[in-house]
Amino acid sequence: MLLMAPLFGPPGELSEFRGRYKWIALFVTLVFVGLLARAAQLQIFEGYEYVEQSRHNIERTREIPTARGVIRDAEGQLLAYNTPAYTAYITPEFFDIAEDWPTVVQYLNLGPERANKLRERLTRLQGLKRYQPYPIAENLDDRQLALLTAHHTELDGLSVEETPMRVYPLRQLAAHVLGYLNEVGEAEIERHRAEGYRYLPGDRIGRTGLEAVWERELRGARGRVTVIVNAKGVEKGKDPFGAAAGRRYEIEPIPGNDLILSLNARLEAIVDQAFRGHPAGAAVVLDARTGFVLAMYSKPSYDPNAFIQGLSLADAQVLEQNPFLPLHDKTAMDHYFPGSLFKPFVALGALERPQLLEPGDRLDPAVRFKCEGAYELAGQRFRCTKVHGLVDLHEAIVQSCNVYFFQLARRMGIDRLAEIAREFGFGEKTGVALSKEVPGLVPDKDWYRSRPEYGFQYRVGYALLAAIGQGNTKVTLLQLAAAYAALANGGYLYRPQLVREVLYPDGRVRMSFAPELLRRIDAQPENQRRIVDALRGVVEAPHGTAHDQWTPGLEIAGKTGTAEVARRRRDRERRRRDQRSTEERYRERDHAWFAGFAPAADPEIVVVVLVEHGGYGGRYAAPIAVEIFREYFKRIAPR
Amino acid sequence: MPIDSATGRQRRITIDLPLVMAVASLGVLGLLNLRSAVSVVNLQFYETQLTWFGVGGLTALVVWLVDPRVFLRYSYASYGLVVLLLILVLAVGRQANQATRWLVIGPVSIQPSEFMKIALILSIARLFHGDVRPEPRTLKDFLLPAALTAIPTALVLKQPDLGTALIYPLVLISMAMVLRVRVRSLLLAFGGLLASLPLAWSYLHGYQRERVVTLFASLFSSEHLDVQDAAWQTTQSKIAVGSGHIFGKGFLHGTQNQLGFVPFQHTDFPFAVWGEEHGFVGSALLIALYLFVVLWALRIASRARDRFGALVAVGVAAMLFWHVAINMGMVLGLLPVVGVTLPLFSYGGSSVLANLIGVGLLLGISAHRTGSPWEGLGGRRGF
Repeated sequence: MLLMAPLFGPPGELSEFRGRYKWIALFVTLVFVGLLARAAQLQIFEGYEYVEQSRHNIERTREIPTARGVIRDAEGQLLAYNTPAYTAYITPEFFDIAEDWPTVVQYLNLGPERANKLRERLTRLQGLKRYQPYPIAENLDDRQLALLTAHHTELDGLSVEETPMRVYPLRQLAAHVLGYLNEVGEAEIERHRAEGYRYLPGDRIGRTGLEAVWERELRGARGRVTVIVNAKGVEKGKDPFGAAAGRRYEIEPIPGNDLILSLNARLEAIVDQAFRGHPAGAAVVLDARTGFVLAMYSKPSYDPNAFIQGLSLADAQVLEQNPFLPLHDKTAMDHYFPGSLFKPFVALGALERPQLLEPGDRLDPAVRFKCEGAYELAGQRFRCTKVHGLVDLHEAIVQSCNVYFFQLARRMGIDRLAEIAREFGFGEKTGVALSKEVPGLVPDKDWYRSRPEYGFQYRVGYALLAAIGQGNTKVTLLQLAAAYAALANGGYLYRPQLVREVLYPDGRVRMSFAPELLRRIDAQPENQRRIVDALRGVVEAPHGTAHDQWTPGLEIAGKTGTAEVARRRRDRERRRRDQRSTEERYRERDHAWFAGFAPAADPEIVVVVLVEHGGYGGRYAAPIAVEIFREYFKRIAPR
Repeated sequence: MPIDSATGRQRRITIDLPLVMAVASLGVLGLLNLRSAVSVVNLQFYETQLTWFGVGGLTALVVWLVDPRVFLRYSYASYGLVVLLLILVLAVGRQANQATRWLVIGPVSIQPSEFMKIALILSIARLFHGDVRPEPRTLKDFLLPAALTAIPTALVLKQPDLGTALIYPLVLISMAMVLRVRVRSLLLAFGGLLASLPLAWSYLHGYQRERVVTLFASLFSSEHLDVQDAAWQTTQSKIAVGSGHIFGKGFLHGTQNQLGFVPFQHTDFPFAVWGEEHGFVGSALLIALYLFVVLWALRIASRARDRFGALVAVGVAAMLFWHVAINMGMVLGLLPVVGVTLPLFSYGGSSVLANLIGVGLLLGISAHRTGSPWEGLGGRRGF
């Protein structure tokens, strides 16, 4: 105890501290009250704001993909459907592109070109899009899928999800009608959003054909789900907080609606088979009584499945540079000179307006004109296919005599020709629900007077050319099919339609389409019957242009056509001099046409066939049409 | 039965029940809160902390039973020992988070800088205990204690551990506040401190400056700064506390904490976890508990039997106060982010042990107080 004694200060010395404690206590209290005030500010007065922010921190809206509607043919066969496929996504905000990108490239076995493109795209995404998973590889194969799922925990921001993938089982067949999907562009996303349709980068959108036209029925609507994520953006699969967290659906995805077409896949195959040996051409088969399209065929074609994942540059070039234009739908996207296929309409036009003909020269179907193989007008020779001698209207169609129609045209004038052509729907889009349909061209006096290349002048010669489907008259196969259907069914011009029904995913009918009558053809039934009789003669009469194709048991009425490809005559001289390549000679050959319907007495279907550069219509196009008729009545609709 | 060394009489050991209860409450709440904070990190931390509480509790018990004068006697020795340990840390310490703060002894890591706080308090108390003067002190009188403080401060800064280094001088200044100092000297000291601020700024690390800038930016602008490091920590901490609202999200239900948005939630930001899960009610309770403990420590100081006891109690009060004030200030977005622990809430064995030793000291001083309850207060009630 003594040892410690010097260490003790006298008790009185404590007085130095007196009066200090209360100031210190005051200071301490003030500081703590300050802390309390700050806590009150954050927790009470700004509390709601922070609650909101803490919620915002952990909630992420995730998109749920939907299933696009399927497309079926008239018999229920699938033409376009979805198959489960796996897509790898990267959420840029959580992905370490510098560190992990090479690994991902290796796992996915991406080519350097694609890898760089993707990498650039991922780095370019800004703002909220950095939090959206961006698809980097679709339709993963087993190896890729296994690698990614095994290593996916090591790669922050990478996810693999099941997404439906579009399949077109018919491949090339009917590809133009169905169309294809490809990736939606950034400008498109904005445009569609303005109209209330939401697309995300990487989404597929119908680009051509029915996929494009019916996009909004087929697409369905994506669902959205709010998920809880941690600070690293990792979705908490295990729900740590009970019911409040975990998956909470906000919007269920709505599957797209299904399309039921009038198209018949088996008939498409029949048409394809009939076109064997011909490199390019097109055909349309319509239900003559309703205008519904049974087959639309354009050759050559392409495989739409290849477009889904984005075509490689090389493949795209091959398609673009193919001289036969596989990407064109030749039934509606391109127009052609109808050639002699135009004659029945000219004939009907003349029969219906006899008063238009020159006075004292009223047209009687029995009136004959003499064909001497050519027709002279103002010093110009307009050629016929051969010397037909005296022909009346019936024979003029059966034998396809140009001179007879030159005579008619001179008397009718081009405006009357145009009038009857428009009556049958030429010169305007049929309105078939397909993108990029062209209207064709029906020239009249005003048209020639507005064209600088014709010196703003109309000449009678133009009417002569128009009467035989040359000059400037251009039509599409679809227009021809609808017009021939109108001839066949007694004057009902129907709009060609492809879609019969739109069904809800559960199978209920959402829309059902009835035949759509564009107009009644303003013509006497008697006159129409005369034309049909002549068309029967084309096949049945021994001197008919398609008599070679007469088939017992098939009552076909139709018309052959041979459309000249421009500048043939002038080149003829040169051709003799230099040896021209096979392809050039091919290109100079005429287009071969046939349009017809059967059975002639009570027509069911109309077939229009175009063989590009096929040559003489009766010889090259008619057999194809006849094969289609034959197989149709044998296999599709046996009688 | 202990013998009262002043009177030589046997006396009953008294226990300061309010202090024990307040500290026990803090300990239990702190442990529970840690349980929540580490539930997403590693529950092992919780068990380790529990062990340290046991060790700390026992140590506090021993400290309570020992006569404070024993500590007076060994104060310089303990100071010397811990300074040696601090030097050892710099030589062979364990590095973590770009700082070398720990000494590894077998299975345990200890952080000598925590124990330095106690050793420093004891040493400063001893200095002033023997230095009795009738006239007010001048700056010259503080040269020795300042030197005593500067050594560990420098060593700790070297680790670097800005937060702990900040505590030492604050403890010294706080303890000096109970002494009579000449007004001129006070003004001079204050002026010098202000003048040295730019110098201190130049010594700060880049990330520390960033934190200071962030803080000022967030104080004067309601918009949240870009989600980056220091700003991220402050922002997320404020969101955690604020989103606790009035009653909190519930134990283990703080999303900011559980989903990893609160940074260093078990070491530097346990108050953010607490505020989020228990709301303003919880925050107020905790602030009140700490306030009570600090004020009670001052009361113990005021009733101490001798200058040493009073100074030690003030020192412990200061240590607790500055930790709480700086830590909460940081969590609430009032102060820049510095690594200062929240006593009994933050994870860390050395911190728990040092704080409980401090509490043990308080209990001991309280038990060995003078007979008159208000002696040292000039006979007036209250502080």
